[in-house]
Amino acid sequence: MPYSAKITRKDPGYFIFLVDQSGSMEDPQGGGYAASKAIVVADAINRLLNNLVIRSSRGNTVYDYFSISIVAYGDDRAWAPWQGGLAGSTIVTTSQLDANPARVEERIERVPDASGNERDLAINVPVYVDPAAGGSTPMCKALENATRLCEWWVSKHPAGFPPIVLNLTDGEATDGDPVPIARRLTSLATTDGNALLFNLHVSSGDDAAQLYPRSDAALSDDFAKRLFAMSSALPEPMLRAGAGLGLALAPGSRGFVYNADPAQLVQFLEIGTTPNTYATAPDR
Amino acid sequence: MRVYDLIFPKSDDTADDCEDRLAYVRDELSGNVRAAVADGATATAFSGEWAELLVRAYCDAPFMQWSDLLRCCDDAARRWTAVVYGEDRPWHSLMRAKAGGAAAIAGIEVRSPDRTWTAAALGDSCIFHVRDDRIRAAVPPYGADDFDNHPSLLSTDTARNAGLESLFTAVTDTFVSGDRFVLATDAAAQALLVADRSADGLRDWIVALTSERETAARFIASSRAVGSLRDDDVAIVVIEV
Repeated sequence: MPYSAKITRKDPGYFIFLVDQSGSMEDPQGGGYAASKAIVVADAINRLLNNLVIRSSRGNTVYDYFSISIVAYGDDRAWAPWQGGLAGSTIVTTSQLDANPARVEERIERVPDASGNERDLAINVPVYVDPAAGGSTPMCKALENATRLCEWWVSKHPAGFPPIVLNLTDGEATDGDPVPIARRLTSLATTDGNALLFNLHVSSGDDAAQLYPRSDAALSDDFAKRLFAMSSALPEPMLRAGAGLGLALAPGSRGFVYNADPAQLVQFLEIGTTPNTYATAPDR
Repeated sequence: MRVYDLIFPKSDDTADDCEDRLAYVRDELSGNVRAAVADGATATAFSGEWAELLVRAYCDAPFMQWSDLLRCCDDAARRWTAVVYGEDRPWHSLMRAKAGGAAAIAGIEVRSPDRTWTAAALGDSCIFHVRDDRIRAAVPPYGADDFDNHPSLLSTDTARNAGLESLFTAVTDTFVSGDRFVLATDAAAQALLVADRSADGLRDWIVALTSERETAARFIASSRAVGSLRDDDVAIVVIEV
């Protein structure tokens, strides 16, 4: 059965986040939110990266169950925006994430003490990515970078769960047609299945979101239709993850959200990073 | 009674990574043996520690009834909280611990004087009563096709356990000299049930599991290699009576 390879330290899950940092990302997120789209996206990615570290935590140790690349794009270029000890890295493991945050932010969490009584505890939570916005939207460059990373990954993990690429954008590519590059990317495969490309469009407007559609019939413009055409169908583990979040998904539902609000962005990342039975429920 | 105990982590893991646990205790006066295996769920927090506490709790005071199991869980959960939160831990460890631990457990008491046994289980760790190299009874009454990735498990969040009563199995029966009891966590339990489908299938397993540890380890490795055993943590106890 495709998309059933287990996530192990030998064959970790691999996620590539393509993050639009073009000038328009500075505009406020739609739906009455004051924060810019760049801030909303950076927050969601930091939260997701921390979640991957937590999912890789056993006892006091973080194991390398996941590898991550981030490709930021804007200003006519695509680059890896890691900072601090991760600066210059292209692929980062979860233990490297844990050891090299760009900075930490203190958060108060309610946890039990040894007797089971609740107490407030200050916890230093890592931050990896800062919001940024400027210039054009070179999505094709970002997809080409992702394709090269996927080529390398499938050559090293030919039987593992295939790479998952999550593209977060608010606009149209300014450097060409991304569809052929997306097709090349999703033609790459391990024995477990083809590489997956999911697309999420964050909106400054108040239009209703299109969530995981099975066809492009309800999409109003060519840009949305192109993003839909680039998006892979959600495999079974992600359909289950979506159902667990209360979404009415069906076989054929694409990994595509248009006009997402922040909650839908977080949900998209959660569904798109559930590669198999590994991480969310008390599975084996 | 003779007892064999075997633990094998996943093939790429070290012993420290293994989240399956076993324990047994022999009463020198009566000759009774209590034994338990537990399978900590990888996706939950500190599940090896939780499995360890459960098997020890069983050997201290075996549960024969649902209410006994709930009491045992409450006590073990308090100990788990003390283990997890009793020391400084990194942020990811504390965040993960909030979700709690979960494990399957199967335990048996084999009583020499009256030649009876009582087995109890919740989840997909199993106990098999074996006679003449064939399985006579399985507790819980699993078949080889009943294993999936979503077994019902005992949680450190004890409120979650209340709804599991219908999944708790306890059986009392008699044994005769020469019988064996095999306790096994899910991957090995499934493999044993598959092996029992053919007339002599179980014999190879029993011979290997009651041989030198190196022989058993080679058998487990080769079974994984040919696909007759899933590459998962394995805990097995064999009691020969």
